[in-house]
Amino acid sequence: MKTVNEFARRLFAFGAGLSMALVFAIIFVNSLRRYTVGQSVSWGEELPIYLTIYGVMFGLALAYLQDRHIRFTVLTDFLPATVREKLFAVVDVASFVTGVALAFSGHAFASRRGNMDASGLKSAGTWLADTSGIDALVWVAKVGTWQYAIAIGGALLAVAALLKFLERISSFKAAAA
Amino acid sequence: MIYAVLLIGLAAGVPVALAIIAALLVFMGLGEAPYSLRVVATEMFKGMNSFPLLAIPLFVLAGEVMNESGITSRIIAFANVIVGRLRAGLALVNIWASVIFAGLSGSAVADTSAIGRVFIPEMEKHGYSRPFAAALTAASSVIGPIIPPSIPVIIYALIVSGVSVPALFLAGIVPGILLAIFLSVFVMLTVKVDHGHEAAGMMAEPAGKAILGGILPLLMPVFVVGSILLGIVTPTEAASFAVAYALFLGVFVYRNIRLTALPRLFAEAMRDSSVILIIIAAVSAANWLLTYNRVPNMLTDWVLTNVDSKTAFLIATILLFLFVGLFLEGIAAMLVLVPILHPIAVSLGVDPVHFGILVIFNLMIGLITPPLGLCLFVAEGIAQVGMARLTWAILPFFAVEVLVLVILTFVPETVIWLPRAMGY
Repeated sequence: MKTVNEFARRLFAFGAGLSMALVFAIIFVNSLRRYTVGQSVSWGEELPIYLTIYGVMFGLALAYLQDRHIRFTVLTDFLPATVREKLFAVVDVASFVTGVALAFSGHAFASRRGNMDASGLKSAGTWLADTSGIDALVWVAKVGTWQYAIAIGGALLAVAALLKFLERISSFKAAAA
Repeated sequence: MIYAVLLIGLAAGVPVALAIIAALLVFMGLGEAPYSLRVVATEMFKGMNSFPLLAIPLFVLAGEVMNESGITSRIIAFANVIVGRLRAGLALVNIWASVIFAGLSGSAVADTSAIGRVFIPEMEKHGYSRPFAAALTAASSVIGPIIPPSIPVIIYALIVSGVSVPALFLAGIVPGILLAIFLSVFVMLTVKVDHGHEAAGMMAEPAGKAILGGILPLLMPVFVVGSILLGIVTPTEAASFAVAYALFLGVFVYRNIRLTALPRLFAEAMRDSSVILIIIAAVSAANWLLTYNRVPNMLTDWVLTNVDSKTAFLIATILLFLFVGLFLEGIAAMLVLVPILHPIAVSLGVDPVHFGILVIFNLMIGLITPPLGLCLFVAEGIAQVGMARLTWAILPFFAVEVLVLVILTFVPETVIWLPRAMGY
C-alpha cells in the first residue's frame, strides 16, 4: 500500500512540478524576449494558462493525498479521534465519487467542441506536425487537448481519494490488531 | 438539495473546493436543461482560463524559493536592527518582520509559518506567554496580503473590471503600515516583560551586516512592485521576474538551494497554488449558477431599495464580511460576494479602489478568527497551546485590527491618497 501511495505521490508531484517549471520558463523567457528583442511567441500566453490548468489538476490530487486542502474542521475537531478518522474515510468515499463525476463532466465538456483550434497554438501545432512528420501533434493546437485537463483532474482526484481511503482502512486494521 | 450537499460536506470536513464542486455536480447532474454535468467542468475551466491568474502560482513559487534560501533569519535580523531595542522589542521585531515578509510573499499563512517557527519559542524564552506570542504572530501575518505584492489583490482585480492592479497595490501600502503601527503601539503599551535590550541578543550579528543581509531580499518587492507601478511589466511577468530573482539569490548568492531541490520546490508551489486555484474554479462554476438565476441582480435591487446611504452600506459590508470571514475561506468569500457588492458600492459613490482594499482587509481579519482562521491554525500548530487559549489571546489583536478597519472605512484618504498621488 505504501509503495502504491508513494508512486502516486511522485506521479502527482511530477505533473504539478513539471507544469510549474514550464509555466515559469515560458513566461519568463517570453517576457525577456519581449523587453529585449521586442518579440514574443504567439503561444506565450495561451500555453502557460493551459499548462497551469493541468498543473492545478495534478496539484489537486497531490494536495488531497497530503491533506493540504482547506477544510472546515471546527465540528470534526470535537469528535473523538476514532470517530473522526471513520468520518474522514466517508469523506474519502465522497471525494472519490466527486472525482469520478468531475471526470465525466470534464469528458462531456472536452468532447463537445474539443476539435476547435486554440487560436494562439494553431501555428505551433501545425509547425510541430509538419516538422516532425507526426500528424498527431496537431492536437497540441486543439482546445480539447487542454480542456481534457478537467476530466484528467477528476480521475486523479478519484485515485487520490481511493488511496487515502485504503490507507485509512489499513491503519484501522493495524490499530485493531 | 444543493445547499444540503454543500453544508453536510463542509461540516463533515470535505475540502471546501470539493464540497462546492460536489454540490454543483449533484445539482447539475439531477437538473434539467440548461443544467447538465458538463456545465461544471466548462465553468471551472473558464474560471482558470486567465493569464493574470498565473501571477498566483508564480508569486507562491517566489515565496517558496525565498523561504528555502533562508531569508527569514535575514529579515528578522534586519527588523531587529530597526526596532529591536525599543520597548517590547522582540514583539516589535515580530510585527515589522511581517511587514518586510509581506513584500516578499504576499501570503499570510506563509508568514505565520516562517516567522512563527522562529519567534514563538524565542518570545517564550524572553518571558512572553506562548499564547501571546502565537496570537501576535498570527495577527501580524495579516499584513502580508495587504502590502504588495498581494494574491488577494490580483484576484480582486480579476473579479472587478476597471480596477487596476497597480492602483490596488499602492492603496494597500498605507493600510498595511498603519496596521503595523497600531499593533506596535498596542504591544508597547501592554507588554511588561521585555524592555527591548534583550531582543538584540536574539541576533548577535552586527547592525551593518544585518542591514546588508536584509537589502538583497528587500530589493525584490521594490523591483517587482516598482516595475508594475511604472507600467513596465504586467503582474504575471513581474511574478516570473520575482521567481528568477529569488532563484538567483538562493542558488548563487546565498547558496542554500541545491539544483536538486528545485523539482520539489516547483511541485510544492503548484500544490499550494492549486489549493487556491481550485477554489477559484469551483466558485466560478457556482457563480454561473447564481448569475443564471439572477441572484446578484435581485440582491443588488434589494440592497439599493433598502440602503440609500453610503455609510450604512459600508457598515453593513464590514459586518457582513467579518461574519462571512468566520465561516468562509477569504478567496471564496471574495469570489462570491464581490461581484454582487462592488456594483452597489460604485452606484452609492464608494471609490472602487477604496472598496477593494476594505474588502481585502476585512477578509484578511478572517484569517485570525475561529473557526476557519487559517493563520490561527498554523500558529496553533506551532505553539500547541490549544485553540481556546489562542482564541482568547488573539481577541485584543482582533480588536486592534477592527479599529484600523474602521479608520480605513471612514477616512478613505488613508487608502486612496497614495494611488491618487501617483496618478491612478
